[in-house]
Amino acid sequence: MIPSQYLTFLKRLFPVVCGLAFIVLAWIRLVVLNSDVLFEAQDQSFWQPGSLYFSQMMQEPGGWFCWAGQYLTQYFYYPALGASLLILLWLVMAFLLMWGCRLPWYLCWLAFVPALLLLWAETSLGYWIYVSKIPDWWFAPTLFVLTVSLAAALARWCNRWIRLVWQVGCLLFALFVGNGWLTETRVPSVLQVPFHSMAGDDNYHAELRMARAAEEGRWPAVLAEMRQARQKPTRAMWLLKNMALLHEGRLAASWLDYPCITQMPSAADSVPVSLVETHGPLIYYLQGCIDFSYRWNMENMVEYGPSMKRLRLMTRCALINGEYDLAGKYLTMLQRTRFHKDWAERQLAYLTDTAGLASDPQYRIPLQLSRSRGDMLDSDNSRAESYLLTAAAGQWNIQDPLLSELCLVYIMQSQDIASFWPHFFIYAELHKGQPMPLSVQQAVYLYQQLEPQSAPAQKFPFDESVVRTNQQFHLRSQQMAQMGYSQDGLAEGLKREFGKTFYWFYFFCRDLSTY
Amino acid sequence: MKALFPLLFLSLFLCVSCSTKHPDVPLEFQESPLQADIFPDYTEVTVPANIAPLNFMAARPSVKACVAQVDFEGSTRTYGNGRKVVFDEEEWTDLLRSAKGSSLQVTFYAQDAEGKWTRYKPFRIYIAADEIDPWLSYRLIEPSYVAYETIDLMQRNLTSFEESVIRSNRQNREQCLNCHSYQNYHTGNMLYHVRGKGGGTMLIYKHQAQLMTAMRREGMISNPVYPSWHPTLPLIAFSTNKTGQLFHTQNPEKIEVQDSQSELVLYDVERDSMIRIPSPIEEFENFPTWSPDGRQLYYTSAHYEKWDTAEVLERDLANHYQELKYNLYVRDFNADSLKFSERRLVSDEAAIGQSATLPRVSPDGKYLLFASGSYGCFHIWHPDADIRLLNLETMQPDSLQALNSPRAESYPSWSSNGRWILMASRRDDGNYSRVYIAYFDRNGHAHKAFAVPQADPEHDKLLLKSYNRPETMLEKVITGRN
Repeated sequence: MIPSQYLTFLKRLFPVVCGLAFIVLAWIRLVVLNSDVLFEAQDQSFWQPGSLYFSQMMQEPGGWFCWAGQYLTQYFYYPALGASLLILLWLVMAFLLMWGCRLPWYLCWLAFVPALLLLWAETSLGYWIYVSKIPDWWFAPTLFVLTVSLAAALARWCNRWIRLVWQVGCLLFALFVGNGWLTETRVPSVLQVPFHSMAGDDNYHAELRMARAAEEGRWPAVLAEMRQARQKPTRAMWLLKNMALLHEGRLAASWLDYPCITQMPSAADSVPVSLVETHGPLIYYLQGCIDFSYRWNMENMVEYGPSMKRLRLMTRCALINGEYDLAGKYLTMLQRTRFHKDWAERQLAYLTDTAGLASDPQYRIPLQLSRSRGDMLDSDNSRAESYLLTAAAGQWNIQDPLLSELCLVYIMQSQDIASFWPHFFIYAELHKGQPMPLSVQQAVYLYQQLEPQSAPAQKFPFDESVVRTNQQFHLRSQQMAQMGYSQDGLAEGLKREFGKTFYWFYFFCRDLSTY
Repeated sequence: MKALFPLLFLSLFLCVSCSTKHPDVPLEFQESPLQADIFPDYTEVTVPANIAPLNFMAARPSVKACVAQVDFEGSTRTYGNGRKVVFDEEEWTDLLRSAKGSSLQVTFYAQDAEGKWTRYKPFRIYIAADEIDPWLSYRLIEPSYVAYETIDLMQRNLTSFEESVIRSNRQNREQCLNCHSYQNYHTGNMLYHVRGKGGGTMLIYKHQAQLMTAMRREGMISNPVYPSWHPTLPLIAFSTNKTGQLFHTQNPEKIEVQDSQSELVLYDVERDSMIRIPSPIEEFENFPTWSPDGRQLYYTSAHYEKWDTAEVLERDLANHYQELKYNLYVRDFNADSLKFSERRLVSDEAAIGQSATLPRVSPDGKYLLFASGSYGCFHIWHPDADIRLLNLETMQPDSLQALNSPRAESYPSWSSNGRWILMASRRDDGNYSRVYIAYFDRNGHAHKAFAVPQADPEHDKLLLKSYNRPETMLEKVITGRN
């Protein structure tokens, strides 16, 4: 039998303990584990002050929740700030349920169940974050459930049975009627939550951080993420890594210094993941495929709504294309946002300062590459990487050293021997007097062995290590093959010593799936 | 006592409203010989007497406040609210009624960040004696390429800011709505296409709507596409098209939309019968439009023979996209037999390095408007595209310099009285189409075009959609459940 004074103390303490536990759990889940996701959430959202945007939102049922939800999502620019707002709303929701439903102290934890469901749902979005048509996913359901909680709480002063009927009705409304109504429109409800967790998927988070660093021109950060990858990286990571190396001027020299066996993104449910909808627009932009970058930003804007990220990229594309009025339009919209205003105001100068644009590190290389590419009518058939590989082989009349390097690496990646030779000579001509990267030398040496009939007759002054490494690679391979190693076993066994060579890449990085 | 509060609040509101609507002209300012830099550009334009208020704003973000002083026959009014000039609708209507056939003088004052005022060279807004059709319809859609999501067919009252939805795809976003078209500016007979699952052509005939799902008949290239109602008979000329698009890899034009096949058909609404208008397969016939008396059908056609016989058709067209050019043709029409004569060349655009699309004959039958660019048939993506005019009596062309801009103009159309030319123009930013209107006077001269006014002058700057296929109507489309 608990003494009454302790019981009273426990009755008061227990709800507080539940609240504190919830705050800690939510903070860990949101800020500690998913800061990058929260930042991406605000980047995928869009909110504007004024009547035009408001009226556009209000054209859909549930529009008020969407408008308010998008407004609050902006605060994820500082993940801790946005998370604090969200947690506060959940605490209010829980309080209303506790107070309104007159929950006994030992059942007060029930009041946190809707918040827990929302917390789990919102941090389990996974790759849906790129293709969600409900960017107000983060706050709109909370606001809706909060409203229903408030309605339920109003019955506090009614007699027991009326209160019960009213509150059960509110619950059913939130779960079913509201769910059905709102799912037809825009506001998702707790019943739709995907209950898988992306917590264990390092690549998903790495991609987010790499893409953000790439857009901000923080190339060492991009490369650091790739080096630290604990799983096989995704193609998006591979391509972003290449972009970092390209912008650091050492693509051909270092592209094989990182893991090259990749895997498809780990999408736990049915979400289709394609590069053109995720990081493809950025990757296109970074290598000067401005029209394709703009196109996919526009298509994604149409399909999934405008977003801060898409508007920024479209601005960049417009500036590089010399479409200054168009860039001005997007900058006007970004200037009206809370956290992207400063970025927009910095770009305003480039509406008139073309020399400044060309020397800005964030524009210099995309601008240089875009001017080097020829124009033709083409289509990527929604497959960004496949297109880049085939387009590289078809790129002729290259005058720019950087473009020649990019094309040559793509051709080496696609292991297209026929296209390699002409592009190798273009590269060599445009890099006369510079050291030939080891990976290129290795490709030349290997292709001369594999297809001597198509290789040029001339002898090349290979670095001594190129020949030696090739001989050792072949010797080891033969030894291990004789010992009965399988293909996978050979790859693993030779990786440590030869994993950064083109020899290893050619024989063991084949048929890599792209998306 | 309690009753005083609402009264006090109302008085305060009125005071604030009044002082906002008619600010004082600044007493100290510097003179500038320059034209006012305003958006939209309503300087020296000619407008119909029944147009909604031409609200505008200072174009430069550095301007913090502005005042517009409007003078007409000795009376002066001022307007200004921050960077925007927003006219009172009633006052504007009265003003334009009084100024019909005359002009308003507008003096623009702008205040910079340091609080200094500048007075700019006054400009005039000319009020034509001719009015414009009260309704305008258009499709609101992003200037995208393949994807679409929310498409709205809208109608807008040009005498006010009233805008409403004719049809939206929000109930089924897999459907695409397009090609709205009216018979002779009346909405009792009209149509639009609904593409996608459960789609067809929504045909409204004598105010009765029916979704036609079997418009494509045997031998037709596609479902009917670009429509043109006969002005008096229950007949609709359509094009049928096999259309593809490819993307520029390095060109601000971004996309090239091409037909690899197209021809014309005639649909009899009452008999539900489709008649193919015979033409050789190497002719890409497109964009039919009737003369106002219904005796002639104008259209465009490009002659295509493979440039590279080793290539597949689509690749050959893509590789030579700048060489495909459309000329203007006409066929006589016999309403009794429903037959067409052989075609006659109206204008050899290819010979002058041009390609014509979207012809429209003026209601008086004297002029032919069309969109003209260097090549191809989808000129809204061609910055060099302009609206041009052909005098059908003298066959003299007119480049309509006054109403064109350095950027793409396309989809010309006439108001029912033939005094106003409408078009989709990308002059503002090169990517988003806006509806511009230009006066076409009785002497056959076009005047400077002006943007369709909005309640908030910043509206078009912030809208991420294009206005597509502007068409005027004499009455509103009555929408209902069906």
